[in-house]
Amino acid sequence: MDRVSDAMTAPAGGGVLLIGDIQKALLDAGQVDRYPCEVRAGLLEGIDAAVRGRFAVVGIVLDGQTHQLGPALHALREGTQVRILLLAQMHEEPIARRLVETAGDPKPADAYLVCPTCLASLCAQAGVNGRGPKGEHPAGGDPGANPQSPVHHPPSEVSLADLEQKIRHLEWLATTDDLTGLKNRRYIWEFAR
Amino acid sequence: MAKDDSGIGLYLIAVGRPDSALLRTALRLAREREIDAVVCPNVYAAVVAAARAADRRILVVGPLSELKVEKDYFFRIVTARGLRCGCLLDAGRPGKGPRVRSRAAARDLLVACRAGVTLLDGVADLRAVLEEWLATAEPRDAPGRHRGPAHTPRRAGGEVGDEWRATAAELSALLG
Repeated sequence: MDRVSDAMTAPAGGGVLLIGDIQKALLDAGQVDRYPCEVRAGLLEGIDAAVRGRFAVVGIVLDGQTHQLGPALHALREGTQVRILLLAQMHEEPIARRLVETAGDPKPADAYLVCPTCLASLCAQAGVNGRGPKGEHPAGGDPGANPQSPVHHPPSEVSLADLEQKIRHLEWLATTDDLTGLKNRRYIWEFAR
Repeated sequence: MAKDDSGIGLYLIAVGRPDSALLRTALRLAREREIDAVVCPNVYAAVVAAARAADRRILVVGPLSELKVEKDYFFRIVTARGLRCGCLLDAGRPGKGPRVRSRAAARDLLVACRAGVTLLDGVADLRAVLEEWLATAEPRDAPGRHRGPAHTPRRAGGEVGDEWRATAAELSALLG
């Protein structure tokens, strides 16, 4: 009970609220406290936090939560004006796509990211202080510093972004026929899982 | 008949199918007592409704089968936010208490008991729950606090019966 009570303290405004098991969605989940993000383990406590807080974006890890996603997203839409970002594994992409592309207004979700991804990419997608850890300027220095100066990312961040890009490329190679550009049997198999 | 003339904004959240006997009864009783009420089709909508009415005194009623979604998270929210909650149990044989079909059902019942929610044997118990809630109306409970001793099973009608203490003890022993 203590853990939940701690999680129910008033959230900071304007950040990202992540709902679900972020270890399954983020390569650098251990560094979440360095970003303007808060985490809730379950959909219910996540919805409670989202309605009471002032978050810009709510990211929902789809893993294991797809069967109750419809009512939860609907409730979130009714109770808040946040952007809803789905964090989907590759085999969950059809579900995420359907939720994002559903006709009607409002849509159940605004966008989706295929996981694994990293916090920097997530924050960039969310439009929330994209590159820098919590409390730091995106370029790693003073907010008033020269905007022309080159951006230096910590080595770990560069390697994560690089890693993520390579994962995307490998996914594409593994699931697409080079000649025709069509998705192959492996991609369909992932869908069918 | 008691009415909401407390001036502190009582709010009834009824969870479940709108055509269910529980919801129809809840709405009728709320109308009789001039209490604001809202129907939520599921527990997620109920959490939103409760969060939006954070400055009011809230009673949530619904079937245990709906409120137990996501393990005990809803009951944790009930406790943390100082809400009052009434759970309708699966109907058993008359005079035999609630029907517990499986180990999972026993666990759900135990979770509800531990969270201090009021257990309803049937729809008829709702009137007693509402009367008690109205009788104890006062400015909203502080978050983290709920009425009655912590983790004490409650029963419609007010008094905590030995029968329910025994139920909780038996379930605890059964589940280890």
